[in-house]
Amino acid sequence: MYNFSSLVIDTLCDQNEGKNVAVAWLYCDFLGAMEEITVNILGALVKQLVRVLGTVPAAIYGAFNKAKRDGRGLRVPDAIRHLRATLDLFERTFICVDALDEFPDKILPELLSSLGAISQELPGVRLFITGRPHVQSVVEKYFPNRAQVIPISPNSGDIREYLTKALREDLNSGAMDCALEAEIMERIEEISGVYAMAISISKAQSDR
Amino acid sequence: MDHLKNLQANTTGAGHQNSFNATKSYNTTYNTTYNSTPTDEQPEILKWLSPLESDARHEDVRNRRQDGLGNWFLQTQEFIKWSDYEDESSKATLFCSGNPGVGKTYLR
Repeated sequence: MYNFSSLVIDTLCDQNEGKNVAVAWLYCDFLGAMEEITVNILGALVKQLVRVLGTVPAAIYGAFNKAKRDGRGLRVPDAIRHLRATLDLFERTFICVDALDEFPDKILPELLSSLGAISQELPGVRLFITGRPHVQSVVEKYFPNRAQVIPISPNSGDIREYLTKALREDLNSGAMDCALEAEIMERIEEISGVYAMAISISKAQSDR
Repeated sequence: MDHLKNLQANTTGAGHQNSFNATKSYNTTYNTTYNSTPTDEQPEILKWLSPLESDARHEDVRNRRQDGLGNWFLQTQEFIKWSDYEDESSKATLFCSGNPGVGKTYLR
């Protein structure tokens, strides 16, 4: 789902240039194994928002200095407090979370309950989440009546575009002629249909 | 994402002393930014907030993304409404549900 998340992030950034709007995001696999802890993830959102502001809010600067004196790192309740307060400085904020199902199970409840509470409290915050179908119930649990689900299936236009480019860049293009290329493209609709069917069969089997 | 840095939040931009005088009220301290934060301390503060680099990860993904793919999604009514800055009626969360392969395979 990388394609969707990164496309949505760029679109939101372009669409809201010059407005009092911030866009922040989380990709699950930018995490190193040692860094997959909730506080780092929430802190990463605060960090992005501070970068958009271009300046460090006084409360964060004060907390940093105190933590430095005490030799303490950021804690989850503080990160949530900073996140909520920083989000509130913008008229609207878009938070994009890529591949939710790939976040470690041990951090997901804390992360989602934090984001769920923030989304309920701050109407200016919008979330874009991608994930496999089985996490839909998790999303609906933490964002009750506040989540809209869009099923994404292989799009034949996308597949055609992808293949056209791949064929164009094929180094062994001598093996390709116009008739073969046309045949491949003609079969795309059929193949994407078969692919969608295979996905539903495999889902039905795993649901059993 | 340099253009993001051009965005202005509704911060008042008071200086050091004013910010510290306002620390009694939490909201005030957030609405009063600390413009005089020494620039050499900012990287340290940002690192303290999180060691994770979301911007770098996004740059990596977008550089490998093939242009044009997924554009149909941006034209859906659901996305248009959800992403509309002024829209107040859309649900706050948009969840795109899909199996592996529907997006990843489009990467170069």
